[in-house]
Amino acid sequence: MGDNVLRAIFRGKVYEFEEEKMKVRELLKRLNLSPESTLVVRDNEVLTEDELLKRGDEVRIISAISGGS
Amino acid sequence: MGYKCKLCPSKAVIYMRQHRLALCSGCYVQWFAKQTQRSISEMRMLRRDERVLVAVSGGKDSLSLWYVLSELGYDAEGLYIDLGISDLGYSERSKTYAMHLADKLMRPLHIVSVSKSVGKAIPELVRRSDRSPCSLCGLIKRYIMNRFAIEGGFDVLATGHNLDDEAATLLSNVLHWQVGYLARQSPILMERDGFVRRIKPFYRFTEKETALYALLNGIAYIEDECPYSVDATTIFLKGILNQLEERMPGTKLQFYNNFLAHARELFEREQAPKVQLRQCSICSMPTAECVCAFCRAIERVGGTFVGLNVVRYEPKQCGASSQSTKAAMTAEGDDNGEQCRLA
Repeated sequence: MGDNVLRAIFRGKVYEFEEEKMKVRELLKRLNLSPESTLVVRDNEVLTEDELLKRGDEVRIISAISGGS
Repeated sequence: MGYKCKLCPSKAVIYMRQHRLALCSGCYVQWFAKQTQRSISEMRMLRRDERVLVAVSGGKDSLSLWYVLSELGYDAEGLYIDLGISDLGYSERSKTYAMHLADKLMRPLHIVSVSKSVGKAIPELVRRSDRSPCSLCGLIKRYIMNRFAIEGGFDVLATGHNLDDEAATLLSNVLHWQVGYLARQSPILMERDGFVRRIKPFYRFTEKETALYALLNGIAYIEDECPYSVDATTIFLKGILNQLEERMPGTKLQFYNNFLAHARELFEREQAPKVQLRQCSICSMPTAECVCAFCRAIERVGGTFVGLNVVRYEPKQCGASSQSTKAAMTAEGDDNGEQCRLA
């Protein structure tokens, strides 16, 4: 795992960002995701929106939206 | 950086802006269970001596509901309806998650096969129908849930509908002024001849909150949306409501709660005298028509209802709970989620 990028995994796809640091809120905005319907997990820890992410971090984004009917 | 828990010195895992409340993982799990009990008590949904059937789809809401009801000490059994959707192994994978939780809770899971009950699985029924997939599937599921609950002697049927589901449905019903639906949209529908009591104990939780509860308790669930619901209107409406929520926290909760407090009864009062139930001439279940909507729909798509095909899955000891949090955290489809199979 490289230390030069911030990696976000969402629905099986990997997104890489070169910013030195970025808040969770900003990351979700960049991916056009709503903080109301997503959870962000880093190292088995769920993060709130104002948590700071940095290069070398790898986060998993979980969509909470489900639907039908 | 990051919020601190309002109840203890730990780091928060969620900040719920509508409640102005930040909680750590431990406090959140306790808060969630207390709020569930509060909804149950306030709406008089369920008594301790009643048997409750939880309709589980393999998703986060219904599995979390089964889990928390069991944690709260209720006599809860699961019902999984096998829709026979083979795209990406959707139904098989969903069923595995339901069975996995049955094992974890050591509670029985009843599995009803749609294809063995009506002669065709959902994909074929959808192909032959002019209704939207979600509408047809919803009709079939509601019928099966109610019928199985009645035949199984359950007092109550619980579903995992959350605030986002309810607010989106309410928005849709208001946009189209579906007066009949508005009269019946409630977290509790009391039992009457041929209908079991139906409850939605999660009606105050957002989807994010139920997903977090599942994650923190190591409840593995299917993250994929149903292949037929990807373009569903409900998902579009949920997106719009979340945009409103971002700008005006608490909108979804106010929208639905104020409907319950100030408007629903008016619609109910207007509708009540108009609906008189009788027995369906084909299946004997209650209906406002000669033939119930389920029998009409099944007949129209060339199916035949031969009675519910039910398999009772007995749980077996499997998977230590201390390991399962990590399993759910890492990924859906993790090998740990595949250990429990039919005996």
